[in-house]
Amino acid sequence: MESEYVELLPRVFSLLGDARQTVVDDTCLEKLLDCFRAITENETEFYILQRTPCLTNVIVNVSKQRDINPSILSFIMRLTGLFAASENYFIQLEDNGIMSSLFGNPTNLGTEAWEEATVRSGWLLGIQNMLQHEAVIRFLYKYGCIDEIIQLQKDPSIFVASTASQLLASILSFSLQCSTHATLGNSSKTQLTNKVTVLHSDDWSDCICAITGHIEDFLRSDITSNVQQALKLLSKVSGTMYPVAIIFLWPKIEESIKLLLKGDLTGIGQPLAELFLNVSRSFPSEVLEPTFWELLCLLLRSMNQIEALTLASGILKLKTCPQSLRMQAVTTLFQPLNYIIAVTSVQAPEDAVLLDESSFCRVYIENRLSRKSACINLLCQILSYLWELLQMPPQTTELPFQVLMRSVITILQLCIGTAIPVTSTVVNISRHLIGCIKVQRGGMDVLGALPQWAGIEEVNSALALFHDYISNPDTDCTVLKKSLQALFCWMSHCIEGVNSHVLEPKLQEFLHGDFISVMKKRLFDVHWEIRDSILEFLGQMCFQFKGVEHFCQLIGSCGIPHLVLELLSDPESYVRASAITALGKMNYLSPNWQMLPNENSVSAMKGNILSYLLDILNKDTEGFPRRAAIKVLADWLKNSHTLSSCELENFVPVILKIGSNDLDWEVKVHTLGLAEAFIDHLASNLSISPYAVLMSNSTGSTQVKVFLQTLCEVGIFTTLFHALWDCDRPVAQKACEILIKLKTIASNADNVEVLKSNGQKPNRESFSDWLSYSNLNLQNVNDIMEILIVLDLEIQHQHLVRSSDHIESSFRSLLEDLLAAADSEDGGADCY
Amino acid sequence: MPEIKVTPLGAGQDVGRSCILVSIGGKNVMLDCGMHMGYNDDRRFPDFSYITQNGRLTEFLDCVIISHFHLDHCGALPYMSEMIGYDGPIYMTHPTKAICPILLEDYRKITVDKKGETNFFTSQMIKDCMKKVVAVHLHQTVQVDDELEIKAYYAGHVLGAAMVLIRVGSESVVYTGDYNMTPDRHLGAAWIDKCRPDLFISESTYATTIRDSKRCRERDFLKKVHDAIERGGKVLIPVFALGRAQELCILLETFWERMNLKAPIYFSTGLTEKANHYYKLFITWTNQKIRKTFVQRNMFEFKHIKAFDRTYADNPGPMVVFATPGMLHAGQSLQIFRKWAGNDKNMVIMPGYCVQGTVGHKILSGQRKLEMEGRQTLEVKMQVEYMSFSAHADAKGIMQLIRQVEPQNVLLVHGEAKKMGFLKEKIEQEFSINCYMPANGETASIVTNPNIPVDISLGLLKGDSSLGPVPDSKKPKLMHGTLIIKDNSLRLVSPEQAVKELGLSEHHLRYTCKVQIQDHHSEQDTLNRIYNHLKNILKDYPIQHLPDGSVMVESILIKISAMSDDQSTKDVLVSWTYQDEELGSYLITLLKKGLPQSIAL
Repeated sequence: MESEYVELLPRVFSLLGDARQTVVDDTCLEKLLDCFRAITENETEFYILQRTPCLTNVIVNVSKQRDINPSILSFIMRLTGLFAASENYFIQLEDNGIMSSLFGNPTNLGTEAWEEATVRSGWLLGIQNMLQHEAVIRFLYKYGCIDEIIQLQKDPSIFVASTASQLLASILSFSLQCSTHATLGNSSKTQLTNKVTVLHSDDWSDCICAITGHIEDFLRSDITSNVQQALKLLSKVSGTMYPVAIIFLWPKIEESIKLLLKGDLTGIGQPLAELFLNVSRSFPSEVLEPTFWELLCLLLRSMNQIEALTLASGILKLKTCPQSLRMQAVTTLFQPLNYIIAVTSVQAPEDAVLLDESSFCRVYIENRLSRKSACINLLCQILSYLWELLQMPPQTTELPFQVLMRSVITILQLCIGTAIPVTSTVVNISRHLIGCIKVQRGGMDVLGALPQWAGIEEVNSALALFHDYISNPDTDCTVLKKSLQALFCWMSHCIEGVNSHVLEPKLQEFLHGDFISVMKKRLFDVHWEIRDSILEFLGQMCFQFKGVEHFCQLIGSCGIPHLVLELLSDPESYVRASAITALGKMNYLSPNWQMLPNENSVSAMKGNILSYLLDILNKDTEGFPRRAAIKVLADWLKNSHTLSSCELENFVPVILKIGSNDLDWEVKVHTLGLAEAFIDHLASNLSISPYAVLMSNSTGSTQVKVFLQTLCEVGIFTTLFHALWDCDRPVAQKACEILIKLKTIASNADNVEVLKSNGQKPNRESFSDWLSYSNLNLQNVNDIMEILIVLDLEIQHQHLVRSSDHIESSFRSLLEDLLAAADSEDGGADCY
Repeated sequence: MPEIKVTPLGAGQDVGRSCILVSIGGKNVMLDCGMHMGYNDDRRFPDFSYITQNGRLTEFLDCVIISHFHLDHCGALPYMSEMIGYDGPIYMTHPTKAICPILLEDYRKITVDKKGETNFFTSQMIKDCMKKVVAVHLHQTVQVDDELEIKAYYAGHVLGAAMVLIRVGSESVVYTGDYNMTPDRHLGAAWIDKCRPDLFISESTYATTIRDSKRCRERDFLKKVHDAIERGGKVLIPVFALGRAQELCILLETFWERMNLKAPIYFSTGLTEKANHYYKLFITWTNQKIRKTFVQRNMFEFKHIKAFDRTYADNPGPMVVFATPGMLHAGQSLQIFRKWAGNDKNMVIMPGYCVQGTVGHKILSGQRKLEMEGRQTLEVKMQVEYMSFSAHADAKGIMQLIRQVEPQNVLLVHGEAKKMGFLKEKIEQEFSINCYMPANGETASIVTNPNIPVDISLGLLKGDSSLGPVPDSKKPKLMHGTLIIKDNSLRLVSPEQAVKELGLSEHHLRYTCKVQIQDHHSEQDTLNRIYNHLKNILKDYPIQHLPDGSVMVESILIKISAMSDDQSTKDVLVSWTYQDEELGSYLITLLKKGLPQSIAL
């Protein structure tokens, strides 16, 4: 801790300890705690307390007051907890009666204070902070704090209740950790069994007994909320720093859990599932006893369909678990999907092995699917779980992908009315699903994650489905976007997947159908969201498949680029920006386009794109299109094959001039990106490494001068020095970084002498005056080299990297603000 | 009993950010999704894990409604939709949808400008988020799904701000967002139907304040600017891109015109054009005066306000500059401030609130020596003024809106606890309704009266109306029928229809009661006297004297059972069916009183 803070702290703490003072803003106290937390990570509590005795003074002072502001009391409790993590300090405070006053019986704090959720929260978090040594555990038991924390699990504030539950889990886990020196180690079963044996419950401390007693009581309770609370607490134990604690506890609670599983699971199914899953996630499967997995199996069988889906999905996400359980989970998750396939197919499904024939299940699913909201909820939930599973590494999720694909396609067909209902049941389901955006969204997400398992038949069905969705004018904007994203994944699979030789012709067939005309139509949709999504899709597609000849030919000859060009004058700025980006990406296709004889090819149009982009950069009133335009130009320059050297010479100075005078900070940053690309391009042409290759010979020196002269002529330095003093930090920082790079190159040139400088270092305010005073010209190479040397670019870069944030979030700034707020007369909070 | 549950994740007894979860009729609706600008880490966003319990937000929430474009109401939206992955519907008005991305971009710029800002959304995320938004019109009833519907009302406050009525079946909630009950330079006052919701969730920023007239504040503002200009000073007004800036521009423009002032006024970063565009586009959202004069002169096309170039800051002579960002965090406003801070002729006017850490906050709390980068100290000699132009309803306005809406319950959010407590008492006293003010993380449960819609068969309705007098629309009418619950629907039909529909055999149940009356006449004469008595009293009812001697009124039979020992005491038996329960009870009461002597035989 720096000495200046040590000077400010006594004043701040005397302010906080003064009951008459009000603190304007709770965020200040939160940030003050953050600062102390950061300090205690670097310095010992003892050292800090020794240097700042005011800390102890304020703690002592506040512990004696009864009319203190609740926010300050809460802060002091959390702060005390932070320092009481040191056992010596804890003992010192306990000896002085401070600990019992602040953390003993809450009635010591006054009823009024305890009614404030912030005080209860501060009390809990204070204890949480100090929970680093056994003395805390003894203290908590001695003063009956455990009972209070147990009570607080039912607090009306969800924040307090959740913190209390978390704290109990931490206390239990820490106490068990203290009771044994064992660590999880290699997690081998033998070791763990030994540990369980060593840690017999007779050895448990009073604290552990109190908490486990509470858990056991609640698990046996007739009140559902009590059982839920106990299960949630147990779940949290497995998520603590010492998860093995749950293994020690398991023998104690196993019987109660068994009893719960045999009874009515209403209201407790979900927390039970959460507990089993948390424990399974924390340990390798072989560590857990076979009875644990049997109980989990039983739970999966006993839960209602909806809750069982959550559990089944959780089981499938486990890295390891018994195969039979995994199969059961797959069956559970796929039951409704199989049902849908069964009722919509004319023939019996081949994969019906997974269909649980138990009539109970069938009736249950039938019943849910017969009611609209239940049907939608069930399908949304399944789709959501499936999507999560599909996001995982493939080896962990062995799913019946064919069934999955067929069912999802069928559901999506039902949603859009293209599936032909063959039975009254399907008519009913179809009536529920038609136009249902919720199911469509979930379905498209899942479908987009499935192409790698698709064969020809599935590709055909999926492409037809995408066509239906994209061409349907009633498709919701979000669903359309997801359809396009999914289609892109399927296209990539068809072109780049292992079966591309079989699948790509199918895709070609699809693309050469009326797909292009659908795209053209939707490019002019009345909703800007749709126009934008189509443009994004086209851009992405053109970039990804730029090497695919038939694709390039199709795009080059279909007239789409011309329509995209029209959208450069769309009334919505987002659409204009996307049109620019799409055109930028289409430009990568140009080598293929140029070969096309078709009049509509874009090769004729291509030359105009640059002037279009310049026009947008110059005139568009909105930032998004201008940003897109400069970004495209910078990208083209980085991939220099897309611009000829003639184009470079003609356009770069113009672009730099327009871009660096833009009002939008991102346009300016991208303009600098373009300048950097130009520098790199030029340097590589002259065989100069911009990354500081030492060149001592005269050829090198001449080359550097030629290089710098070209940059001067293009106006690179005017742009960079203009940006160096920009009010937006990212602009100035980028300019500074490029100038440092150039300075390194310039230092390799001979005869660099500081001739004109008068020794003064210019700054933001004085730079232009300094230039004129020193008679320096930004078009002259020697002057440029001199400026680069005179300016403290490295120091400036350091400032820019730190920027305003280091002032705003500094400890000193915070302390000053706290002091100033107290002095300020107007304490009334305001808002927008 | 059905309940409406409200859990604020923000705006519960504070004004940091608004994010309120409402559970109504089995639907979960999130009202606003604001960002707390006082934090630079994850704490700036609401912690949704408390409400989803590890589930996905998309499955949990039925919709999100954004009241207006201020970041403390919409700033966490891209985080929620693009980083947390909420995929469901988001509703806001058309102007809010148009302006939201500008404000979000404005703030994103500040976060990028600062080092150490993590977990913040990108430009692409803002766009993707906005593509999920469904824009609504005022007074348009939007059906979110089969059961949930919403309707937006004008809230004043800022362009596009809306209050929203949420209805699920017979239960309803009104959420005000931020609102203003007095029109300002460019916007009108809030207005809503007398919709009598079960719950009215109101902001309470100025819960205990009766604000001084806006005119006074405006006069004060103009005077300060004018004084500074007169003495040759420069005036800096840090603002956010859209909102208050436009109001102040109109104010200065009009003043400059009236006073024929020559000092230039500048607006930085091309925002005037953008603002013009939106105000023109959404002219119907502005107040009547602006709408009326729009044809002759567009209030947002300023004659005196010109675009700012950074070189102008060094120009000699007085000038006024509106520059972003509004809290002097970074960027142009900070750069101009640094240039001008050292001159005591100059002035900075902060027209809104600043979060801790910003230069704006520091100078407002009176700090005059500021540490800048490189340990340089900036001495602030310029005059520093704070003028709140935030457009919220004051205590009077809040009470006025409650009176207009006539809710069953009120819940206060977006205010300070103490002030809320004061207003809560006042509301409970004046309107005799419950008022709640849950803190963040606390749940308020409001019990509502179940209102179950029942279809009534036409036959029953017709039959009932043909019997009695012409129904009075203001008086509730009691109807008897059989309630059939079948296929998730409830129907009230006549017993005959019910028996027929359900294929049941009919059983008649009669109630019989013995009443002793004193009458010295013979049994037959007593019955005659009863008949005549009833004829006099029940003039509209058909009363029959049956051949067996008994008297019948509707289904009610009256006869004398047997003589008792005492000749003058008669046991009268009254028997009725359940349909005539009311009339039966009436007759028993009547007979118990005895027969008047004057009744003829």
